Amino acid sequence: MFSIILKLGWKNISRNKKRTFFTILAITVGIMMLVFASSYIQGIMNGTTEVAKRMRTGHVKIMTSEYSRLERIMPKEELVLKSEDLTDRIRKIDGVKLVSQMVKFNALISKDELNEPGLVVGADPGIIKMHMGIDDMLISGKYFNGGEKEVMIGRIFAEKLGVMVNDELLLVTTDINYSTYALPFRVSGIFNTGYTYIDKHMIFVPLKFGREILDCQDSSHEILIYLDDQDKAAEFTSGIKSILSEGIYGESIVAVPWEDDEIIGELMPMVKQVWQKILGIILLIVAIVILNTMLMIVMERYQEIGVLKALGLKSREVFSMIVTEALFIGTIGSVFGVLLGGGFSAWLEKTGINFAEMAGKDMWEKFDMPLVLFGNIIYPDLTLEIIISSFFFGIFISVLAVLYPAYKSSKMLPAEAFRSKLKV
Amino acid sequence: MKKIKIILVLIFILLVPKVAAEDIDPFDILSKIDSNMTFESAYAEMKMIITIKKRKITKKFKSYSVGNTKSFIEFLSPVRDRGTKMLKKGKIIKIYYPSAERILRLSGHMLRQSMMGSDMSYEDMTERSKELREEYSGEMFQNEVLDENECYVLMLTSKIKKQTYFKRKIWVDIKRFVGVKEELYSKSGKLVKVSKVIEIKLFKNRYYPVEMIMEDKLRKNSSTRIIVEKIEFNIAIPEDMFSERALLK
Repeated sequence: MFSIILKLGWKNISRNKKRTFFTILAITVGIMMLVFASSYIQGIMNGTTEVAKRMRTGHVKIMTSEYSRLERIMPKEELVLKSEDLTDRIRKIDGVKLVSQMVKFNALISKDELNEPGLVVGADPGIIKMHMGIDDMLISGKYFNGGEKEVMIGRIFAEKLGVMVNDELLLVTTDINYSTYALPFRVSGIFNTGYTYIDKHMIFVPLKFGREILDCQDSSHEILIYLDDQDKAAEFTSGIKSILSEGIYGESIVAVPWEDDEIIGELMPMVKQVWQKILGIILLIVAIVILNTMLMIVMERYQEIGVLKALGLKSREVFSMIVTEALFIGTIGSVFGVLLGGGFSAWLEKTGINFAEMAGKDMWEKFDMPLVLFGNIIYPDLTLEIIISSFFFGIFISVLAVLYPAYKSSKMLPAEAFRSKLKV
Repeated sequence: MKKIKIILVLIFILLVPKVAAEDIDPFDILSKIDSNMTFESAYAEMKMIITIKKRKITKKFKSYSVGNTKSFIEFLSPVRDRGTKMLKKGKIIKIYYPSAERILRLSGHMLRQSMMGSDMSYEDMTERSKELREEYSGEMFQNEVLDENECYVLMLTSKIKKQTYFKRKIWVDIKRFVGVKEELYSKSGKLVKVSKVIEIKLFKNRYYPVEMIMEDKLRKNSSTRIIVEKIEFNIAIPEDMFSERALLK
């Protein structure tokens, strides 16, 4: 009997081709939207987390507890002392791939009569290259080597100051002893990361000159550690606590794993919640569209069901037939939805969605909050989990939609079904 | 009848000082302070003690000035500041940094930055009563006694929306015509800076503050004390002292 029901269900979907086509189309479009939206949200979350790890947290970040608390205002005097020695010791620990010392400070960047405030990052050029990949983002000039007084400057910042490669810039700041100090630098290269805040405010200088301006030899504001396995960051953090508490490197030195970073640990979950709510609304819309379409295809067939019942089909068999039909339609729609949505997302995963172009360059460049590390190009991230969950969601909603009308029609007497006002 | 007379006398006593204060133009008071404190020329040796949390940093400098529009400052210590020179001509400020051997002309938001790490901004150095009259509207409050000295109390409110200090409350010593205290407020009403004169000395029939303290309330536990160690008035200062050449010397 089961095989007959299956055959009947399959046959029914080809009986009214137009009706079946539009029902499958509704499910396909809904599932396609779901796959794309899920991949897009996943892409934003992953992209922001990766940039935060590359640019500000490493896998583990060492700093003073006061610097950690006031990181947004970057207190210059909050330094990890003897950071060269500490870096050497950390490098020798198993599982450590890279260690980077940094000084960070706000300074006045001046060219001729123009001056603009900027965020100066002093780090080893070789290490910036390895973990930030700034050398791949150069749009003019060459990558600096660290031996000369050279800087790398963001594209928007360079445009604001009217700076070209080989031009001279003056960096002026107050050092850790509240003396005002200035050094001239030559622009070695101009970079474009696609992250407005970085391109608009940041300037990279070799670590030794950053320290010279601040008057803090052998000290750093941050030590970023990159591990072979980032999932071991928390474990690594507890492992180095004893080294940090020796007192050699300062009174209160802390190590923070990337998961506990302000962006990744606090801001991202909030962002994720917002996106999950948006995704919930998309799911609801998709569900309503599928429910509505499936409901209609059962309700408009009450008379046909009456005929089948008059011919001797039992209520259970009518119910199974309708559910089977919904199962077939849901499966076909979900397959197409996953294929089209997945294909579209996979294509965008390679090309990216350029928001700067869509929103207009000027409008986009206004969004330059330090913690919002959203690039101008978003790359969706299609995962197997998204494909499977969307596929089964399509089938589940299709079947769920017909349960009630299927039950109702299966219980109807043939005469009642004939009297039904809903007709094709 | 006697009672009425007493009441009238009391009303008169209470009202007279208020009416008198309201009749005075606050900007006239500020102009008088400016003229009182402006000498033809002056040479001074000063020190600035910056206190931030538990740290104290002392900076010494000498200054030459002509009127209230031209001044030249050279920092003598500490080592990292030695040789830093500042030239102010009207609203224009130029600084020579010996470490870079370059001159920087300050403009825009840079003027609002801390001057040599102190609680004072470069903009604070350039203000004069003439500009205050153009940019603020003023009113007089009831006189107050501050450190045993009777003071006029002036309240200036900016006519310009984007003013660094939207409101300024100024206490002026009535007898010596010296501004003895000033509170600076942002547009939201937040107290941004407070400056107070600690000591005033008499020079050639004119009173001049020789010690003052300024607190930038946006910097936690911070204050800057400026002490005049030596001052000479109406001395001969060569005109080229106020030139870029003097900065580069």
